[in-house]
Amino acid sequence: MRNLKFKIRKILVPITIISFVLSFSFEVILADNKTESQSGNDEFEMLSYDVDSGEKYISYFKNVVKDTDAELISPAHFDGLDSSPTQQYSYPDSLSPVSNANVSPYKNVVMCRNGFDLNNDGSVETWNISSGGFVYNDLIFTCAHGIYWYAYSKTANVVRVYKALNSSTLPSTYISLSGWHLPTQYTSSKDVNYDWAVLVTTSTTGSWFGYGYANSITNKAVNSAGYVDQNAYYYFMQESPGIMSSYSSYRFTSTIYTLGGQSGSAVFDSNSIVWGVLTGTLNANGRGCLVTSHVYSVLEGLK
Amino acid sequence: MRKIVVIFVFFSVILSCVSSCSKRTSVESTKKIEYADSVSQADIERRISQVSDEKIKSSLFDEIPCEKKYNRIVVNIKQSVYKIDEKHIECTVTNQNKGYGFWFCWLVFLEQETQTGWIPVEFKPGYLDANDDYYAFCAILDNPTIEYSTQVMIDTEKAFYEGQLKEGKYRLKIYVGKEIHYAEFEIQD
Repeated sequence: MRNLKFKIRKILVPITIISFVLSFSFEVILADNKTESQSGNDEFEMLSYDVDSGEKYISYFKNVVKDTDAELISPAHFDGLDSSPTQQYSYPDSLSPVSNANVSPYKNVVMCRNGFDLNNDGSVETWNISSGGFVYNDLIFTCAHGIYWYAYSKTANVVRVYKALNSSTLPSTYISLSGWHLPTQYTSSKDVNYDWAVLVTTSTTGSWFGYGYANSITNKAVNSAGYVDQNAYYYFMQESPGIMSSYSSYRFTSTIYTLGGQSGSAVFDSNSIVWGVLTGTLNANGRGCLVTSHVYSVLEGLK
Repeated sequence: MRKIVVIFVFFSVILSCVSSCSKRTSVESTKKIEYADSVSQADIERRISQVSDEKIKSSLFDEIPCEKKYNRIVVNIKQSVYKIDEKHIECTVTNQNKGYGFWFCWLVFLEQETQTGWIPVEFKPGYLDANDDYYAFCAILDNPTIEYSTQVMIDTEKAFYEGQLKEGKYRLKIYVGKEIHYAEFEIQD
């Protein structure tokens, strides 16, 4: 009997150890997967690109917005040359040329020329344009579809950034990027809720927009400034004030008069706080993506 | 001792199963996609055909002239025969007028040859927006002496063509400037 007990113990002890090991392994595997599976909650997943190394990689940004946060604002920054830019906007049913792009908030606005190698021959041969806005000294908030061509599964090989451009010719100097960050929800399935991107520039600026997250933005009076891809407007900044007329968890519609090329334009209030980014139009009414908790967290994480 | 081990193993298995289930639920919940307003193929093609003369004759870059006549554009299908399960059908678009950039529509349409002629193969452009900008500019900077060439393609999965394509003769319908170009090919099983 004692012999039998010994044999049972001999079998059960290894089983116990194996169970322990297996159980522990499961927990480790699950902990790893947790980072991915909860990327929409605790951590947010982005496709990132480093220009120097030419590497694309997945990066994770910790969510810094709490459920109880009704509104969070990262303030705008002025470089001392401007007094408060607070202004009242009128609401024309069209675009208006910006007379002086060298003052805030217009000097935070950029035009991007995005180049792609669609035919895979190593040279950049296909170009589009988009708009954007500095939201930190080296960070530009813009739309995803300017730098990611979903139909071709291609990211831009080259992005030339022109800051506060407002002239009849394209300057020979431009700002280059050191990298960019795109939501993987956009690159994997073109989920329009995530049509936004953050570009990182090689040089810094002294003035930038603030950005705000809020759980309610109904009827917020806003302005947008950017560039239109029709030659009558080339190189000249246009602005179009409006009202954010409706919104969902991720997107808004507005009365901002919007044409092609304006995609990526910052939608900002009279205190230079960006609340969203234009991504498209419906009957010339601009619509786009809000500064969600994801956007806010990624920008905070990149500062 | 035996009881303890059995209980331990039992709970380990239960714990693992519960964790796996919660993980699956979490992953699925991130897959919900909200597309832009639904748009028909006809709406998109109508918009493309209405591109302005002003746009297609203006260069994106000061140093590169834009093609005005669009009379030396050549399209070449990459393969004359594709398998029925082909994912990409590719075609090069070249302006033989050296050093002149040109506007082309990156969204390509598909037509099938029937006894009554060429008919469009319908797709559901779920990921497209009626107001997307379907034109892009082709030019290679700092290289003014060559013919500029780009590539258009149909991704049969993204354009929701998969399963619709049968054996037969097809052609891509490609807008370059305001002109329409066709590139024929065959699909075999």
